[in-house]
Amino acid sequence: MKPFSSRVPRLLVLALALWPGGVAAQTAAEALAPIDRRMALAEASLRGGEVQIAESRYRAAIFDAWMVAGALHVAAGRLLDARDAFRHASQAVADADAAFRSLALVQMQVGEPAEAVTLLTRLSVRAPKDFQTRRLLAQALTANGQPEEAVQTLEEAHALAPDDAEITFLLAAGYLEAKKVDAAQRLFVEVAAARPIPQTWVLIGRTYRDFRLFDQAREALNKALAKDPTTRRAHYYLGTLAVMPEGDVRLEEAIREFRAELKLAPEDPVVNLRLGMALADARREKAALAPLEIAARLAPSAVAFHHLGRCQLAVGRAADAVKSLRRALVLGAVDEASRVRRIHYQLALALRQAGAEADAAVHFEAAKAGSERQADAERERLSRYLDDSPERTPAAAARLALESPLAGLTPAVHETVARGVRTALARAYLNLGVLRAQAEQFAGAGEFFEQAAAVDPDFPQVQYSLGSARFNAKQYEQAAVALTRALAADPGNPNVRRMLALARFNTGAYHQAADLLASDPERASDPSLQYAYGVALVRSDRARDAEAVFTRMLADHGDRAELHVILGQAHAQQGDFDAAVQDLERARRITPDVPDANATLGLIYLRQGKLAEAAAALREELKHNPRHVLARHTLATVLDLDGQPAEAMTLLRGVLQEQPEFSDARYLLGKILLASGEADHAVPHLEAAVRLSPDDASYHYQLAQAYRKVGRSELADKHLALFQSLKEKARGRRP
Amino acid sequence: MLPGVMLSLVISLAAPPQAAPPPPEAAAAMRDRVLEQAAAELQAGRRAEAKKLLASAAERFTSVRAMLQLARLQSGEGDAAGALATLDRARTLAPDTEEVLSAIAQVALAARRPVQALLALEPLTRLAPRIARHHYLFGVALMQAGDMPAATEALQAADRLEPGHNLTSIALGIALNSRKMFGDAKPLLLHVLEREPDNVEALAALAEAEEGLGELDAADSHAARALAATPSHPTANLVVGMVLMKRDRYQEARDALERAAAADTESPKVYYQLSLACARLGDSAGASRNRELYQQKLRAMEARIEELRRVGLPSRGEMPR
Repeated sequence: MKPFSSRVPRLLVLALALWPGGVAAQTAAEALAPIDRRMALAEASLRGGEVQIAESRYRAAIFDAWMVAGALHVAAGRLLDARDAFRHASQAVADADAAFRSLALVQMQVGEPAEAVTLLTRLSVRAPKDFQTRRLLAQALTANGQPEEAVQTLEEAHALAPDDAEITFLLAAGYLEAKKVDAAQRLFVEVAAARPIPQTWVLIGRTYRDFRLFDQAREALNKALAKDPTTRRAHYYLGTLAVMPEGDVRLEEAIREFRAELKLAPEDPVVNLRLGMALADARREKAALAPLEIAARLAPSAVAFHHLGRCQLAVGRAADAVKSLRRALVLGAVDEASRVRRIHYQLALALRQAGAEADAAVHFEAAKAGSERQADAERERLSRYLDDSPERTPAAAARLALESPLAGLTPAVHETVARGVRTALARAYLNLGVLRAQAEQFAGAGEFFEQAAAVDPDFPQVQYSLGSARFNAKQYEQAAVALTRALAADPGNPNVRRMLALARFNTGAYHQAADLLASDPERASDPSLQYAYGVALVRSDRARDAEAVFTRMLADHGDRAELHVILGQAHAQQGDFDAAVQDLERARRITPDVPDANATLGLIYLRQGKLAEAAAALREELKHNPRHVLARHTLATVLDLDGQPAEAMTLLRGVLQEQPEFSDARYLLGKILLASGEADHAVPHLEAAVRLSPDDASYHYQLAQAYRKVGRSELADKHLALFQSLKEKARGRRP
Repeated sequence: MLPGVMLSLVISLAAPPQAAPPPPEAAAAMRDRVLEQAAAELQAGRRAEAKKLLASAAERFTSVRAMLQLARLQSGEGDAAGALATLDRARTLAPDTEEVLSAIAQVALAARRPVQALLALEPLTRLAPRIARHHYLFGVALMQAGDMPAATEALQAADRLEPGHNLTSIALGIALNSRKMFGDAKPLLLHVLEREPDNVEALAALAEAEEGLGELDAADSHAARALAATPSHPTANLVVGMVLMKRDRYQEARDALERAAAADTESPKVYYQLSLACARLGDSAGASRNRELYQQKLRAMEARIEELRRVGLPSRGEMPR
């Protein structure tokens, strides 16, 4: 027979066993030792050139670090943070069952039993003989409102492990839930025989009590006392039994039992609180004061201060009552509204008695909703106050506090461990990111760096690495964010400044790009930087400065065709088409197949409505650069306008094969298909165009037309409305 | 773009290692030399020598790098079992490495061992949840195993991460067809054909969707286009057979279905249709044989799904027909 704890919550100590140290840690070094070992092994593999093994070991270190972080959060009562930590752990390694189990435990605590059921079901299928998981699953099922499935799970587990007392006990509780009292009783007898200590009978008695089987509960608790009159909690539960039955509230019996319990443990705050409440309810407020003061001092809670205030008011200590009730209000801010109203009511009475009429009026107002029934409600709810486990199911255990292997750490050690975990995580994620970057997997590298930055944004190199990876993955917006942080940390670093400038340039933030490049020491000697600077100036409406840059470039690098193309594009962007054409023609004269010259000319001719010239220039560009995507798209536009849809569609299909996310090309192809009567085929393209550029009004208009044609009127109306709203928004923006 | 020295920089910033001294530099250098020799042998077309060298590096230096290279050669020679054995060894040394898991998944998928592939792909989709390719392969493996609802979910996840990818759309179309969700499959497949009008897989899957929707002429036409490019295409032949069945041309239907069965011996659906065709032609022996084959394939699929369930992989166990 396995050892059997005296309280069901032991199950929840499972999280303790999950952390890598194995035993409860007392010092920071003990808590961090397993992580440090993993990191050292990973770095040794790295030095040995075994990057795959290094990756695996870094991941194992990350797993351990998140598990420790989760345990720290549990110890501090930050369950949502613990949930996130265990979730991160579950994404670190292939075999993450320990993280999933901890995650499920926390999910049960934070009111997400359905998620816990999903996780635990999978775990228990994978390991049918893992009884701990099955027990947890049963608890999660019960908490999720699936008591029959819970019982079935426990029956299966019991059949596989008939000697496991915890399973037997939980199954008995499940039977009580299913109202199979005889079956439960048989199992409880088995449990008691297997573990013949008085605490077993306390646990059984309490479970009967939770299911409101008061006679059986009393019998079990008395058995515990018969075995050992000093058994803790037996008198306490007998006391609660005296006040729980409806219509038969035996306050004196309860008071006697609570007092008997306090003889065994005079400083027990819960028993003091219950005794104080029972005395108050018996109108013996003066006697209630002492136990309530102990309860309020040792375990401050809204309930304790509320009842203390009530009693102080009753014995004429209005000023003390005001203090206690104000404290109750602070502590009860997140309590149920009816309790808060009752506190307001009592506080209003105390304030009035203390002569603070105006202040009292405010609290009477706050209490208004339920005050008229206050006295009755107090009595009616007495049994609830006395019931320390209001959820009368085995799931109640899941709602009791989780314990953590790191709960015993002092605050200073706790902080040291937390800092060590953060450093280890940042270091491991950063090194994984570097491994990815070295393999030129920049998007993947960015994700690791992102995680390093999320854990410790100030870790050395992290923002620059993140910015650099995002830049190389062409994720310029994200690159700019990280590089801005990197530059703030190291304002004199020209490399960071330059990369940020280029990221800004690529996101269209030309003003900022130009400002950043203005003082770049390498600009004068690097034509590509000079070019970017010139273009940024043009596009941020500083054409005169740009002209000076380009003139200098022409002087420095000769009369080069590429520079004339840039100048031509700059003029075109300014709307000076004549100057643009002049430069572009010059570029063609110097190098007839210079990239982009004909494409830009084609675009200019299109804007001028010269379709034949546009088509000729674009075809010329494609003769030299057949894969020029913009030239193909512009030519398709020209051909569509010129009534040649077939060739336009062929061009667009080719463009989309290379750039499926090119929204203008999708839109144009959809529009041409729609005009050709192929609405069915047009719809997916127009849908994609809208998805890629949701703020373009004309896309919504064409999509609405296409939906109309295929009989999807509801969607047609929706997109027509979007079209109109975007149009109106655009009109509103106009001066 | 990242400076090559960054890694060592980061390591130097880290706390000094406290355990497991690094492997002797000499051993690492020796391993690198063996790997270089293996590469040279391979370059010279001497695969056997290259494999021998890689196997020796894997063994002597417990090198996962060498194991991955060896598995690649074994897989390239069609030795899936050998490659998987090598990769299993790599996995014991580096259980949490994406490259190792991905290699296992790909070799297992190519060898039509979906459960083995799934055991690598399930963790892979957790370790790198934003990589569409892992979800795509997860979906394909689930399709191979016959778990179409779970496959649909995985493929939809891939599509969310990388919208409009042709391979994902086709696989999703096929998965939806297997679940008789032809109306959902059709627009996806049309979308693929807009981008790639001659894609044979998309044409065949579209034909299957159209057949399911009762659009027999369109199904026939798209299946014919697929068969013009790949005459033995199993799905296209299946569609042609099913269209012919609906047009009461049973003999031609049986011929097409037999071609489909020859090209894909694992599909229960083909045998089911063949049993119907034989029955219509009065060939009760053929009907009975094909019905038995249908049930046999179905049982194999059920076994695979049961295996998925047993190893705790997502499965809803919906059976195709």
